[in-house]
Amino acid sequence: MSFPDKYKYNKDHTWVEESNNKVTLGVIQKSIDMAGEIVFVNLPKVGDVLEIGKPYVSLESVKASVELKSPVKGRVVEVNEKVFDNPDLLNKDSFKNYIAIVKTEKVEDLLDSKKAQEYYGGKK
Amino acid sequence: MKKLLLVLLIGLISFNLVSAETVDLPVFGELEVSEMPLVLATILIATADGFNPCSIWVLLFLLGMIIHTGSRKRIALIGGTFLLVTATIYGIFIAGIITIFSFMSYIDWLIYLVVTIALIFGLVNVKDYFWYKKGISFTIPDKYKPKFFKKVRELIKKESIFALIGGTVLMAAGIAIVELPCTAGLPLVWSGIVTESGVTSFYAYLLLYIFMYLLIEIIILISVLVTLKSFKMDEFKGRALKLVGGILIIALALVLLFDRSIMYNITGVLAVMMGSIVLSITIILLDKLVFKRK
Repeated sequence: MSFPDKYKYNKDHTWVEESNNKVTLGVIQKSIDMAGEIVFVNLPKVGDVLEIGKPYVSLESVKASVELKSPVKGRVVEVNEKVFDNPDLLNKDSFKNYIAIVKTEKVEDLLDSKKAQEYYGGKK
Repeated sequence: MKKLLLVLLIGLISFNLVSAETVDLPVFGELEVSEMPLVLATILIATADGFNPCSIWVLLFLLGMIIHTGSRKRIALIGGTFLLVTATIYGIFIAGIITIFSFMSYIDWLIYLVVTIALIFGLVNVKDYFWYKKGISFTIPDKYKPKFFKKVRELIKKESIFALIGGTVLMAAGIAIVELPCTAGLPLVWSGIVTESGVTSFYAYLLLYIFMYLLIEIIILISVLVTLKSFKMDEFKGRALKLVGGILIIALALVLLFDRSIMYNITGVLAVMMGSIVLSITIILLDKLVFKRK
Protein backbone atom coordinates (compact mmCIF):
# COMPACT_ATOMS: atom_id res chain seq x y z
CA MET A 1 0.00 0.00 0.00
CA SER A 2 1.49 3.35 -0.98
CA PHE A 3 0.56 6.94 -0.27
CA PRO A 4 2.41 9.17 -2.76
CA ASP A 5 4.30 12.04 -1.09
CA LYS A 6 2.96 14.63 -3.51
CA TYR A 7 -0.57 14.29 -2.14
CA LYS A 8 -2.20 15.02 1.20
CA TYR A 9 -5.06 12.99 2.62
CA ASN A 10 -8.19 13.42 4.69
CA LYS A 11 -9.59 10.76 6.99
CA ASP A 12 -12.43 9.93 4.63
CA HIS A 13 -10.61 8.20 1.79
CA THR A 14 -9.75 11.25 -0.33
CA TRP A 15 -6.36 12.36 -1.60
CA VAL A 16 -5.76 16.05 -2.25
CA GLU A 17 -3.26 17.76 -4.51
CA GLU A 18 -2.93 21.48 -3.84
CA SER A 19 -1.76 24.01 -6.42
CA ASN A 20 -2.30 27.77 -6.13
CA ASN A 21 -5.94 28.28 -5.18
CA LYS A 22 -7.13 25.00 -6.67
CA VAL A 23 -7.11 21.44 -5.40
CA THR A 24 -7.51 18.13 -7.18
CA LEU A 25 -9.51 15.49 -5.33
CA GLY A 26 -9.31 11.74 -5.82
CA VAL A 27 -9.95 8.52 -3.98
CA ILE A 28 -7.31 6.58 -2.05
CA GLN A 29 -6.50 3.28 -3.72
CA LYS A 30 -6.77 1.27 -0.50
CA SER A 31 -10.33 2.53 -0.04
CA ILE A 32 -11.20 1.43 -3.56
CA ASP A 33 -9.71 -1.98 -2.89
CA MET A 34 -11.74 -2.26 0.32
CA ALA A 35 -15.01 -1.20 -1.34
CA GLY A 36 -14.72 -3.81 -4.08
CA GLU A 37 -15.04 -3.34 -7.84
CA ILE A 38 -16.37 0.16 -8.53
CA VAL A 39 -19.15 0.07 -11.13
CA PHE A 40 -20.49 3.62 -11.00
CA VAL A 41 -19.07 7.00 -9.99
CA ASN A 42 -21.67 9.66 -9.32
CA LEU A 43 -19.60 12.77 -9.95
CA PRO A 44 -20.31 16.27 -8.69
CA LYS A 45 -21.32 18.79 -11.35
CA VAL A 46 -19.18 21.67 -12.54
CA GLY A 47 -20.38 24.68 -10.56
CA ASP A 48 -21.39 22.69 -7.48
CA VAL A 49 -20.26 24.23 -4.22
CA LEU A 50 -18.56 21.74 -1.91
CA GLU A 51 -18.59 22.07 1.85
CA ILE A 52 -16.06 20.52 4.22
CA GLY A 53 -17.44 17.29 5.66
CA LYS A 54 -20.34 17.06 3.19
CA PRO A 55 -20.48 14.31 0.53
CA TYR A 56 -19.01 15.31 -2.82
CA VAL A 57 -18.95 12.03 -4.74
CA SER A 58 -20.64 8.67 -4.37
CA LEU A 59 -19.16 5.40 -5.45
CA GLU A 60 -21.19 2.30 -6.16
CA SER A 61 -19.30 -0.93 -5.90
CA VAL A 62 -20.56 -4.47 -6.39
CA LYS A 63 -20.68 -4.77 -2.61
CA ALA A 64 -21.76 -1.38 -1.32
CA SER A 65 -22.51 2.25 -1.90
CA VAL A 66 -20.16 4.84 -0.40
CA GLU A 67 -20.33 8.63 -0.18
CA LEU A 68 -17.07 10.46 0.39
CA LYS A 69 -16.84 13.68 2.38
CA SER A 70 -15.18 16.72 0.94
CA PRO A 71 -11.97 17.95 2.59
CA VAL A 72 -12.42 21.39 1.03
CA LYS A 73 -14.85 24.25 0.70
CA GLY A 74 -15.07 25.64 -2.80
CA ARG A 75 -16.58 25.50 -6.27
CA VAL A 76 -16.10 22.56 -8.64
CA VAL A 77 -14.41 23.79 -11.82
CA GLU A 78 -13.72 20.47 -13.52
CA VAL A 79 -14.76 16.84 -13.18
CA ASN A 80 -13.12 13.78 -14.66
CA GLU A 81 -15.69 12.43 -17.11
CA LYS A 82 -13.39 9.50 -17.90
CA VAL A 83 -14.16 7.85 -14.56
CA PHE A 84 -17.90 8.23 -15.23
CA ASP A 85 -17.51 6.52 -18.60
CA ASN A 86 -15.06 3.95 -17.32
CA PRO A 87 -15.08 3.43 -13.53
CA ASP A 88 -12.55 0.67 -14.01
CA LEU A 89 -9.90 3.40 -14.21
CA LEU A 90 -10.37 3.87 -10.46
CA ASN A 91 -10.13 0.15 -9.84
CA LYS A 92 -6.82 0.08 -11.71
CA ASP A 93 -5.16 3.23 -10.36
CA SER A 94 -7.14 5.76 -8.40
CA PHE A 95 -4.10 7.98 -7.79
CA LYS A 96 -3.75 8.63 -11.51
CA ASN A 97 -7.45 9.24 -12.06
CA TYR A 98 -8.86 12.20 -10.19
CA ILE A 99 -12.51 12.94 -9.41
CA ALA A 100 -12.74 16.73 -9.50
CA ILE A 101 -10.81 19.97 -9.44
CA VAL A 102 -12.06 22.60 -7.01
CA LYS A 103 -11.37 26.30 -6.70
CA THR A 104 -10.86 26.43 -2.96
CA GLU A 105 -11.89 28.82 -0.26
CA LYS A 106 -10.83 26.63 2.63
CA VAL A 107 -9.07 23.29 3.12
CA GLU A 108 -9.39 21.19 6.25
CA ASP A 109 -6.32 19.96 8.15
CA LEU A 110 -4.89 17.10 6.12
CA LEU A 111 -2.52 14.23 6.75
CA ASP A 112 0.81 13.96 4.96
CA SER A 113 1.69 10.65 3.32
CA LYS A 114 3.48 9.30 6.41
CA LYS A 115 0.57 10.08 8.73
CA ALA A 116 -1.90 8.77 6.16
CA GLN A 117 0.09 5.55 5.97
CA GLU A 118 -0.17 5.21 9.75
CA TYR A 119 -3.87 6.15 9.80
CA TYR A 120 -5.03 3.94 6.95
CA GLY A 121 -2.49 1.24 7.73
CA GLY A 122 -4.44 0.39 10.87
CA LYS A 123 -7.79 0.46 9.09
CA LYS A 124 -9.38 -2.71 7.90
CA MET B 1 -67.86 28.16 -0.63
CA LYS B 2 -67.05 25.13 1.49
CA LYS B 3 -69.78 23.21 -0.32
CA LEU B 4 -68.34 24.18 -3.68
CA LEU B 5 -64.86 23.04 -2.65
CA LEU B 6 -66.31 19.78 -1.45
CA VAL B 7 -68.09 19.22 -4.75
CA LEU B 8 -64.90 20.07 -6.66
CA LEU B 9 -62.89 17.69 -4.52
CA ILE B 10 -65.36 14.91 -5.07
CA GLY B 11 -65.36 15.64 -8.80
CA LEU B 12 -61.56 15.62 -8.88
CA ILE B 13 -61.26 12.17 -7.47
CA SER B 14 -64.20 10.96 -9.54
CA PHE B 15 -65.69 9.21 -6.62
CA ASN B 16 -69.43 9.16 -7.20
CA LEU B 17 -71.73 7.64 -4.62
CA VAL B 18 -74.71 6.08 -6.39
CA SER B 19 -76.55 4.60 -3.45
CA ALA B 20 -75.84 3.30 0.00
CA GLU B 21 -75.05 -0.19 -1.38
CA THR B 22 -73.00 0.72 -4.45
CA VAL B 23 -70.31 3.18 -5.41
CA ASP B 24 -69.32 4.24 -8.90
CA LEU B 25 -65.55 4.24 -9.39
CA PRO B 26 -63.52 5.03 -12.50
CA VAL B 27 -62.20 1.85 -14.19
CA PHE B 28 -64.17 -0.35 -11.76
CA GLY B 29 -67.64 0.88 -12.68
CA GLU B 30 -70.37 0.23 -10.13
CA LEU B 31 -69.06 -1.63 -7.11
CA GLU B 32 -70.83 -3.19 -4.17
CA VAL B 33 -69.91 -1.44 -0.94
CA SER B 34 -68.87 -4.88 0.29
CA GLU B 35 -66.04 -4.78 -2.28
CA MET B 36 -64.61 -1.54 -0.88
CA PRO B 37 -62.31 -3.31 1.61
CA LEU B 38 -60.73 -5.15 -1.34
CA VAL B 39 -60.19 -1.83 -3.14
CA LEU B 40 -58.63 -0.41 0.02
CA ALA B 41 -56.52 -3.54 0.54
CA THR B 42 -55.34 -3.28 -3.07
CA ILE B 43 -54.40 0.38 -2.65
CA LEU B 44 -52.52 -0.21 0.60
CA ILE B 45 -50.74 -3.44 -0.39
CA ALA B 46 -49.71 -2.03 -3.79
CA THR B 47 -48.47 1.19 -2.19
CA ALA B 48 -46.39 -0.85 0.25
CA ASP B 49 -45.13 -2.94 -2.68
CA GLY B 50 -44.16 0.29 -4.47
CA PHE B 51 -41.67 1.00 -1.69
CA ASN B 52 -39.77 -2.12 -2.67
CA PRO B 53 -36.05 -1.32 -2.25
CA CYS B 54 -35.00 -3.37 -5.32
CA SER B 55 -37.11 -1.48 -7.83
CA ILE B 56 -36.43 1.89 -6.19
CA TRP B 57 -32.68 1.16 -6.15
CA VAL B 58 -32.69 0.40 -9.88
CA LEU B 59 -34.73 3.48 -10.73
CA LEU B 60 -32.59 5.81 -8.60
CA PHE B 61 -29.36 4.63 -10.20
CA LEU B 62 -30.85 4.72 -13.67
CA LEU B 63 -32.00 8.31 -13.16
CA GLY B 64 -28.75 9.20 -11.37
CA MET B 65 -26.86 8.21 -14.50
CA ILE B 66 -29.18 9.88 -17.02
CA ILE B 67 -29.07 13.15 -15.06
CA HIS B 68 -25.44 13.25 -16.09
CA THR B 69 -26.61 14.02 -19.65
CA GLY B 70 -28.44 17.11 -18.34
CA SER B 71 -31.30 16.41 -20.77
CA ARG B 72 -34.83 16.40 -19.35
CA LYS B 73 -36.06 14.89 -22.60
CA ARG B 74 -33.76 11.88 -22.15
CA ILE B 75 -34.71 11.52 -18.49
CA ALA B 76 -38.41 11.54 -19.41
CA LEU B 77 -37.95 9.18 -22.34
CA ILE B 78 -35.73 6.61 -20.64
CA GLY B 79 -37.41 6.92 -17.22
CA GLY B 80 -40.93 6.80 -18.65
CA THR B 81 -40.19 3.84 -20.94
CA PHE B 82 -38.45 2.03 -18.09
CA LEU B 83 -41.47 2.43 -15.76
CA LEU B 84 -43.92 1.44 -18.49
CA VAL B 85 -42.04 -1.74 -19.41
CA THR B 86 -41.29 -2.88 -15.86
CA ALA B 87 -44.92 -2.21 -14.84
CA THR B 88 -46.25 -4.15 -17.85
CA ILE B 89 -44.06 -7.16 -17.10
CA TYR B 90 -44.98 -6.99 -13.42
CA GLY B 91 -48.67 -6.79 -14.39
CA ILE B 92 -48.35 -9.84 -16.66
CA PHE B 93 -46.59 -11.71 -13.85
CA ILE B 94 -49.36 -10.92 -11.35
CA ALA B 95 -52.11 -11.68 -13.90
CA GLY B 96 -50.39 -15.03 -14.44
CA ILE B 97 -50.44 -15.84 -10.72
CA ILE B 98 -54.15 -14.94 -10.40
CA THR B 99 -55.05 -16.94 -13.52
CA ILE B 100 -53.21 -19.99 -12.19
CA PHE B 101 -54.96 -19.60 -8.82
CA SER B 102 -58.35 -19.27 -10.59
CA PHE B 103 -57.81 -22.46 -12.60
CA MET B 104 -56.86 -24.36 -9.50
CA SER B 105 -60.02 -23.07 -7.81
CA TYR B 106 -59.37 -21.78 -4.36
CA ILE B 107 -58.96 -24.96 -2.39
CA ASP B 108 -57.39 -25.31 1.02
CA TRP B 109 -54.03 -26.68 -0.07
CA LEU B 110 -53.58 -23.70 -2.35
CA ILE B 111 -54.02 -21.38 0.62
CA TYR B 112 -51.37 -23.36 2.50
CA LEU B 113 -49.05 -23.11 -0.52
CA VAL B 114 -49.53 -19.33 -0.82
CA VAL B 115 -49.11 -18.87 2.93
CA THR B 116 -45.96 -21.02 3.02
CA ILE B 117 -44.30 -19.19 0.11
CA ALA B 118 -45.39 -15.80 1.50
CA LEU B 119 -44.02 -16.65 4.95
CA ILE B 120 -40.68 -17.59 3.39
CA PHE B 121 -40.59 -14.25 1.50
CA GLY B 122 -41.62 -12.35 4.63
CA LEU B 123 -39.14 -14.02 6.96
CA VAL B 124 -36.25 -13.59 4.52
CA ASN B 125 -37.12 -9.88 4.19
CA VAL B 126 -37.20 -9.46 7.98
CA LYS B 127 -33.91 -11.37 8.20
CA ASP B 128 -32.41 -8.93 5.67
CA TYR B 129 -33.07 -6.04 8.07
CA PHE B 130 -30.87 -7.67 10.71
CA TRP B 131 -28.44 -9.65 8.53
CA TYR B 132 -28.41 -7.93 5.16
CA LYS B 133 -27.43 -10.23 2.28
CA LYS B 134 -26.31 -12.92 4.74
CA GLY B 135 -27.52 -16.38 3.74
CA ILE B 136 -30.63 -16.43 1.56
CA SER B 137 -31.53 -12.95 0.34
CA PHE B 138 -34.12 -11.70 -2.12
CA THR B 139 -32.05 -8.89 -3.59
CA ILE B 140 -30.71 -8.16 -7.06
CA PRO B 141 -27.61 -10.37 -7.30
CA ASP B 142 -24.33 -8.40 -7.17
CA LYS B 143 -23.15 -10.10 -10.37
CA TYR B 144 -25.78 -8.14 -12.35
CA LYS B 145 -24.62 -4.73 -11.12
CA PRO B 146 -21.64 -4.21 -13.49
CA LYS B 147 -23.80 -5.31 -16.45
CA PHE B 148 -26.60 -2.93 -15.42
CA PHE B 149 -24.31 0.10 -15.18
CA LYS B 150 -22.53 -0.82 -18.42
CA LYS B 151 -25.88 -1.09 -20.26
CA VAL B 152 -27.08 2.27 -18.92
CA ARG B 153 -23.81 3.93 -19.89
CA GLU B 154 -24.17 2.57 -23.42
CA LEU B 155 -27.82 3.58 -23.48
CA ILE B 156 -27.41 7.23 -22.58
CA LYS B 157 -24.90 7.68 -25.38
CA LYS B 158 -27.35 6.59 -28.09
CA GLU B 159 -28.26 9.40 -30.44
CA SER B 160 -31.29 7.92 -32.20
CA ILE B 161 -34.58 8.09 -30.26
CA PHE B 162 -35.62 4.68 -31.59
CA ALA B 163 -32.35 3.13 -30.45
CA LEU B 164 -32.78 4.85 -27.09
CA ILE B 165 -36.32 3.54 -26.60
CA GLY B 166 -35.45 0.08 -27.96
CA GLY B 167 -32.42 -0.17 -25.68
CA THR B 168 -34.46 0.97 -22.68
CA VAL B 169 -37.20 -1.59 -23.41
CA LEU B 170 -34.67 -4.43 -23.56
CA MET B 171 -32.85 -3.30 -20.45
CA ALA B 172 -36.08 -2.73 -18.50
CA ALA B 173 -37.39 -6.16 -19.48
CA GLY B 174 -34.18 -7.79 -18.26
CA ILE B 175 -34.27 -5.89 -14.98
CA ALA B 176 -37.97 -6.60 -14.40
CA ILE B 177 -37.25 -10.32 -14.65
CA VAL B 178 -34.09 -10.21 -12.53
CA GLU B 179 -35.83 -8.29 -9.73
CA LEU B 180 -38.94 -10.51 -9.64
CA PRO B 181 -37.72 -12.69 -6.75
CA CYS B 182 -37.13 -9.48 -4.82
CA THR B 183 -40.66 -8.15 -5.39
CA ALA B 184 -42.84 -11.24 -5.64
CA GLY B 185 -43.93 -11.57 -1.99
CA LEU B 186 -46.68 -8.95 -1.75
CA PRO B 187 -48.26 -9.61 -5.19
CA LEU B 188 -48.41 -13.28 -4.31
CA VAL B 189 -50.38 -12.65 -1.12
CA TRP B 190 -52.53 -10.00 -2.84
CA SER B 191 -53.31 -12.45 -5.68
CA GLY B 192 -54.38 -14.96 -3.04
CA ILE B 193 -56.69 -12.41 -1.42
CA VAL B 194 -58.21 -11.36 -4.77
CA THR B 195 -58.79 -14.93 -5.90
CA GLU B 196 -60.24 -15.92 -2.57
CA SER B 197 -62.61 -12.93 -2.59
CA GLY B 198 -64.32 -14.42 -5.65
CA VAL B 199 -64.46 -11.19 -7.70
CA THR B 200 -65.62 -11.98 -11.23
CA SER B 201 -63.03 -9.85 -13.01
CA PHE B 202 -59.72 -8.95 -11.46
CA TYR B 203 -58.40 -6.67 -14.24
CA ALA B 204 -59.64 -3.43 -12.68
CA TYR B 205 -58.02 -4.43 -9.39
CA LEU B 206 -54.82 -5.33 -11.21
CA LEU B 207 -54.76 -1.93 -12.96
CA LEU B 208 -55.28 -0.23 -9.62
CA TYR B 209 -52.51 -2.36 -8.09
CA ILE B 210 -50.04 -1.49 -10.85
CA PHE B 211 -50.93 2.20 -10.70
CA MET B 212 -50.44 2.35 -6.93
CA TYR B 213 -47.26 0.27 -7.21
CA LEU B 214 -45.90 2.75 -9.74
CA LEU B 215 -47.00 5.89 -7.93
CA ILE B 216 -43.88 6.34 -5.80
CA GLU B 217 -41.67 5.72 -8.85
CA ILE B 218 -43.67 8.22 -10.91
CA ILE B 219 -43.20 10.78 -8.12
CA ILE B 220 -39.44 10.06 -8.07
CA LEU B 221 -39.25 10.47 -11.86
CA ILE B 222 -41.17 13.76 -11.80
CA SER B 223 -39.01 15.08 -8.94
CA VAL B 224 -35.83 14.27 -10.85
CA LEU B 225 -37.26 15.87 -14.00
CA VAL B 226 -38.06 19.06 -12.12
CA THR B 227 -34.94 19.35 -9.95
CA LEU B 228 -32.38 17.51 -12.10
CA LYS B 229 -31.03 16.12 -8.84
CA SER B 230 -30.82 12.47 -7.96
CA PHE B 231 -31.76 10.90 -4.66
CA LYS B 232 -29.86 8.22 -2.89
CA MET B 233 -31.13 5.25 -0.96
CA ASP B 234 -28.54 4.07 1.54
CA GLU B 235 -28.38 0.55 2.92
CA PHE B 236 -30.25 1.41 6.11
CA LYS B 237 -33.28 2.76 4.23
CA GLY B 238 -33.24 -0.32 2.01
CA ARG B 239 -33.14 -2.59 5.07
CA ALA B 240 -35.92 -0.63 6.78
CA LEU B 241 -38.16 -0.95 3.71
CA LYS B 242 -37.46 -4.67 3.63
CA LEU B 243 -38.48 -4.95 7.28
CA VAL B 244 -41.80 -3.16 6.69
CA GLY B 245 -42.48 -5.25 3.57
CA GLY B 246 -41.50 -8.47 5.34
CA ILE B 247 -43.72 -7.86 8.37
CA LEU B 248 -46.63 -6.91 6.12
CA ILE B 249 -46.23 -10.08 4.04
CA ILE B 250 -46.13 -12.20 7.22
CA ALA B 251 -49.21 -10.41 8.63
CA LEU B 252 -51.18 -10.90 5.41
CA ALA B 253 -50.12 -14.55 5.20
CA LEU B 254 -51.32 -15.12 8.77
CA VAL B 255 -54.62 -13.39 7.98
CA LEU B 256 -55.06 -15.68 4.97
CA LEU B 257 -54.31 -18.67 7.12
CA PHE B 258 -56.38 -17.92 10.22
CA ASP B 259 -59.13 -15.42 9.45
CA ARG B 260 -59.68 -14.20 5.91
CA SER B 261 -62.78 -12.25 6.94
CA ILE B 262 -60.43 -9.59 8.36
CA MET B 263 -59.67 -8.54 4.78
CA TYR B 264 -63.39 -8.03 4.07
CA ASN B 265 -63.91 -5.08 6.36
CA ILE B 266 -62.23 -1.73 6.17
CA THR B 267 -61.25 -1.66 9.83
CA GLY B 268 -59.57 -5.05 9.47
CA VAL B 269 -57.58 -3.99 6.41
CA LEU B 270 -56.44 -0.77 8.08
CA ALA B 271 -55.57 -2.61 11.30
CA VAL B 272 -53.34 -5.11 9.45
CA MET B 273 -51.56 -2.36 7.52
CA MET B 274 -51.14 0.07 10.41
CA GLY B 275 -50.21 -2.73 12.80
CA SER B 276 -47.43 -3.87 10.46
CA ILE B 277 -46.08 -0.35 10.07
CA VAL B 278 -46.20 0.39 13.82
CA LEU B 279 -44.47 -2.93 14.60
CA SER B 280 -41.75 -2.18 12.03
CA ILE B 281 -41.14 1.32 13.40
CA THR B 282 -40.99 -0.10 16.96
CA ILE B 283 -38.39 -2.69 15.92
CA ILE B 284 -36.30 -0.05 14.11
CA LEU B 285 -36.45 2.33 17.08
CA LEU B 286 -35.55 -0.43 19.55
CA ASP B 287 -32.72 -1.52 17.30
CA LYS B 288 -31.37 2.04 17.04
CA LEU B 289 -31.97 3.30 20.57
CA VAL B 290 -31.53 0.19 22.70
CA PHE B 291 -29.16 -1.98 20.69
CA LYS B 292 -27.40 1.04 19.08
CA ARG B 293 -27.10 -0.68 15.73
CA LYS B 294 -26.35 1.54 12.71
